[in-house]
Amino acid sequence: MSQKIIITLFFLFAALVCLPPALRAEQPVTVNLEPASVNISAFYNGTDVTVHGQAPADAEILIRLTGTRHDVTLKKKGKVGGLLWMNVGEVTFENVPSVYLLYTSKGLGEMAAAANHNRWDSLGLGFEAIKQEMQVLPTPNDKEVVFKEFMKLKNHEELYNLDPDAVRFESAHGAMKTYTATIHVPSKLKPGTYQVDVIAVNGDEIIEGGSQQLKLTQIGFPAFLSSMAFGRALVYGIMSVVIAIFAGLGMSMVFRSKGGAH
Amino acid sequence: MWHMYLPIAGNSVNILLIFGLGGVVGLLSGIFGVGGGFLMTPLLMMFGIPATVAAASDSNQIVGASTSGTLAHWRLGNVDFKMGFLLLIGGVLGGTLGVQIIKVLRALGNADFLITVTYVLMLGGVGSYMFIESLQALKKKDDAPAAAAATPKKESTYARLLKKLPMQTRFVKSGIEISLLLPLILGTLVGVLAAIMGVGGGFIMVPVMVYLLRMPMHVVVGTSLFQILFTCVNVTIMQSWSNHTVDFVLALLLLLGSTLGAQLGTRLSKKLKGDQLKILLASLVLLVCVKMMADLLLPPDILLSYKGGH
Repeated sequence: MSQKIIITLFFLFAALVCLPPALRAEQPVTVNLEPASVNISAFYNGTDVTVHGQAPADAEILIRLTGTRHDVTLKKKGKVGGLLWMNVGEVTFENVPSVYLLYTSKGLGEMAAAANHNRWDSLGLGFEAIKQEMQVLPTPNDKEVVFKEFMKLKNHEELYNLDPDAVRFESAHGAMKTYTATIHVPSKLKPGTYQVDVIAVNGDEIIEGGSQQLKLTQIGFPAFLSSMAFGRALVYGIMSVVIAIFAGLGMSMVFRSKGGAH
Repeated sequence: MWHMYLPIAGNSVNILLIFGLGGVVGLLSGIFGVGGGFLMTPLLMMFGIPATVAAASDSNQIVGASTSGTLAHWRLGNVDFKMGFLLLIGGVLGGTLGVQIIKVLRALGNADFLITVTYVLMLGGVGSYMFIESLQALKKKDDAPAAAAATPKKESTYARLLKKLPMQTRFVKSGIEISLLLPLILGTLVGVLAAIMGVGGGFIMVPVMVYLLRMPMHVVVGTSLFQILFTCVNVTIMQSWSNHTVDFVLALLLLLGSTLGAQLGTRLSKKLKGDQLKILLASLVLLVCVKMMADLLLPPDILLSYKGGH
């Protein structure tokens, strides 16, 4: 009986030693968001969300915030008659994320170079991956140029961004260390649910970490106005006009009383 | 602290910036009787507001500014309600017609090119004519005010034609006698143009009232504001109802500034002579024309843009 137990224990021990490092149970990557959800109130102007957690002591960290993928149709400018810059048509970008913010502890290129290529590619990280995964319709002769312009537009809106050296580490305790990064949520980010993924990379070894959802909700006055604008559109329109007229009347009265005093 | 969230635009703006922008545009409305959308919509877009929301919220704001401006001008006796109503009826008809025409033009293709070039040429033409005409008038007055008044004006073909039209009516506030049909027809034409160009029409309406209806400049400003008020009430309700593009927070911030600006503008307008007003407005029109030409000739920063803008 005791012999059986010893043999079982031996095999268990052997199995543990031989397991690939990625599956070691003592090295999970934890993810915490602070705050876990964002409330959009009347004076909201974007906010900062802190992402922190535990990761293996020798790992680099990537934090990615993405939104649902959708199709975007944009107007494209071009030269007409070799002289005038005008809208010359529409381009549809299919399967692009509404937002893509990537915060890393080290340059993305450096990490990609050290990693296992197939494994790295399967993670779909960085702008190059977005380019690979999207479809542009109608297919342009100059996909590279069109993609660059698309990135410019999204970057200008603060919705696509790469930030190397944004993830900080605190001193390691044993096999684990604490990572922290501050994600700037731009005010342009629409209410909805977004995905925050944390991936740990150690040389060519990719330890996929955890995920958390970040929820943005309108509350108070903005929520009230939105529900009016979409739910009772006619009442909302008439109300907007009436308040504007009263504002004009009010200002006019203020000036008349001033004028009367002279 | 100094920012407010715009629930429909889906973005935040600086309160003081928007208040100031409203003030400047309201001032222009009060002085010249234009809505100011030509200035407001592109600036709002620069601050990250979608084009459709910028244009719709701007018309909501103009409702406030033109109420304020119309009342101020009315107290000075500068609003010709009869003329305003006739132009308005024409404008509504023209706007409806223009929307249909633009559908046909778009179906033919290349419409945007045609519209933009026509718009720029029109601004350039109207601006230059107004500028030269008012400059000459100002000079004449400086040289020999008595002589100019004494010389009887030669009647032009246009003036003779006007007298032949039926339904001649007296417009007391404007001090003119013309056919009822004329403001109706001209209002319709301006409405068609405004709808096709996608602009409010103040820029076209003011020169039309000055040169084709021959109204005095001060009455033109007040009457134009009165007419713009109704147009923008209609646009605001229609846009809220069918497109949900009116951001009331944005409109409110703007109109706090613009209702104030319209009052100050009216006071300023009162101090200026008709020809001085004309030459200033002509300069503004030419400036917009130059800006549009620059946009057409200089390569844009980003070749892609969201739909719904210009």
